Amino acid sequence: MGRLFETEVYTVSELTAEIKGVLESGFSDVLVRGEISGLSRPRSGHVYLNLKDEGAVIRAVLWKSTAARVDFELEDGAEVEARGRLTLYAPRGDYQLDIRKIEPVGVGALELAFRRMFARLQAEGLFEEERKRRLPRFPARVAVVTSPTGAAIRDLLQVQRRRWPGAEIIIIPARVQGDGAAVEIAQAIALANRIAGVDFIILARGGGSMEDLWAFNEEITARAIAASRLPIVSAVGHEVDVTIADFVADFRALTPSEAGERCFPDRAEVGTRLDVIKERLARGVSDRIRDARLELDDLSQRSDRAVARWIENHRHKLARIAASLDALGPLKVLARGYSLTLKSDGSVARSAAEFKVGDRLETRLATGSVISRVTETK
Amino acid sequence: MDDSELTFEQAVDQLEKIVGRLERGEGDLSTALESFEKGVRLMARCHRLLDEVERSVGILTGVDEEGNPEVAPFDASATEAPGKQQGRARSKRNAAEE
Repeated sequence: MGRLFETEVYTVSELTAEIKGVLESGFSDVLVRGEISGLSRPRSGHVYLNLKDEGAVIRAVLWKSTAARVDFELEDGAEVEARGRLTLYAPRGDYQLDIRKIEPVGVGALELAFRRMFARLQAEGLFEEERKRRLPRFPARVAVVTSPTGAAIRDLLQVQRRRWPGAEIIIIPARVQGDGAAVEIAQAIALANRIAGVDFIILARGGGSMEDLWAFNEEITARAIAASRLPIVSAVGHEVDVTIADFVADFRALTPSEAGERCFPDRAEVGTRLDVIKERLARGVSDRIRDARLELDDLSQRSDRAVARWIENHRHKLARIAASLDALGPLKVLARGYSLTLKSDGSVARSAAEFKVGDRLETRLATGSVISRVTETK
Repeated sequence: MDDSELTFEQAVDQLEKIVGRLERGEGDLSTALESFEKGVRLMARCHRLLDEVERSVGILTGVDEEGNPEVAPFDASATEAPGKQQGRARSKRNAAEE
């Protein structure tokens, strides 16, 4: 009985080794797209996951050093593109994708991560209207966190010079795009808070793609804004661009130029307003003086009237007294022909016995007096 | 605080308060006159600040322990692409004013 199959018989190890050779040389650099599932992060620092779609699953691994370089959040359900090579693990007869590089797919995944972070910050109350502080109306010193070589600072300065040139501008240089930009922005915000006399901070960056503006969507930037002692103005991108920084900031300007318009008052308008205040000040004080004068006039009239009334009262009283004095007095009696005899000491004589011969006496008549000497008494 | 140390913001705040008190007729006449005199001084301070020549624009190089900034001059025209000539002329004139 001949062999049914005159072919070589493999041992399991031999077959596996051959499959491994074919697999690993045939798929030494593949790009595969799928959804993450079964993500696990053991303490070793390596990351194990499955990539799957509707019909199949492939095991995959991110070794520790690769995992450390991943700059987005790996999570179940995320759509990714992974580049790497297939390797076969003989003891288990298993193959897996050894991932060298992994990226989220399109805006979908970025957007998902963004929405989750957005929801988290919102739940923490970082976007609340009550947290927002008012900007001083007339800034004297303003810190601008931006790239010193960018267009944003020039646009901003151009408007600021025209409107409110008296303000001092301190540029705090920070990269505003690329890896590490968010950290630099956060550090710059912290530094600005250490400068004395700063009225507020402007975060400025010109327009760009959503990826270019990404530093302003990162949590570290959002938290640095929320932690700032000084009010923060977000002036990032064009009108249509909205970043998380816009939500957390105390004031959102649509563009760096608009920040110039909204954060700095117009010198000419302020001059006009000062003139109005000046008029109100002058009118205020002259009104007060007029009021005081009226009050004084009123007082003086009242006191004149009071004095006149007093005099009038007393005049009547005097007249009454004079009248009764008149009625009681001797003058009326004298007028009827009676006379009054006064002794030499001026007292009124009532009896002849008060005189002796030779005494001088005065007889007072209704008009005038007669002086005579006593020749006899009876 | 001495009037001459007030910021524009502080001076305007005080001015508005003074005007408000005067208009409401608060205080006696001598207080009103004092307020008016202070208002006139504040007004002068505001106009001085408003007429001040352009302040500098600088790039931060450090912050000392009191919070004073150390800055390097910033030339806005250095890497400016369009309107370069105009930009230079402007900054030269500013330098002359300062």
